[in-house]
Amino acid sequence: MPLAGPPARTQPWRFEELEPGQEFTTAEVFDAAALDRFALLSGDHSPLHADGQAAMGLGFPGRVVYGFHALALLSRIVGTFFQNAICVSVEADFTAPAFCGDRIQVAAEVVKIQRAMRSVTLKVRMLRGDDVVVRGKLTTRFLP
Amino acid sequence: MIQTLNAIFRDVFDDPDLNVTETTSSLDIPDWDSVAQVKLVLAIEEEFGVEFTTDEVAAFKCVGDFVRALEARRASG
Repeated sequence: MPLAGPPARTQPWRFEELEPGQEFTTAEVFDAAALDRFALLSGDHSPLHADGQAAMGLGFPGRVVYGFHALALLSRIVGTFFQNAICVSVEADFTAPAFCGDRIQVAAEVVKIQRAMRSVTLKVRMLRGDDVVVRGKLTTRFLP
Repeated sequence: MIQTLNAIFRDVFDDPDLNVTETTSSLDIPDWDSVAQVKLVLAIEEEFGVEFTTDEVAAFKCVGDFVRALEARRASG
């Protein structure tokens, strides 16, 4: 299922420009080098993520992508598309695994805007092909 | 209304034993910081189907402030 991207522009969106229904997307291929980098960053060297043979021994087709690595794409969404916004909270369900070499596509749809607090809530889904691997909610707050 | 607010506070602060009253404030709940305030406002708005104004949000210092704002909404129809 192709995801609609945000309108083409180079400048990040200001709070006043956002409205419910707008969707922001990004994508990333999680190859072996990326998983290795996240292992070093996180200190998580679980064989499930770090060792393809071990992962296959557990019934997976290869190294499992770190869920928290995938969630890092939400930081890209906020930092790339929104002007002076900070993350307030993230809720995420890891609904299916993704594997080394997979391309994960992220869509974040504006579902609520709280003008008094300059807060924007986004419904998040991450797709591996047609499979939803993460679904959740991201709340941001725009600085005055 | 206070029971509904109490359920929201229990959920936001992940404390099933929390019992708030109208005088409960951030002095009574150490985790009641600016992030929790955002989550409280969003959760209360969703539950009661309202959107608070900037003035209302600025005045929210205790549970009773939420109660009074919601009652004012009801009174104004």
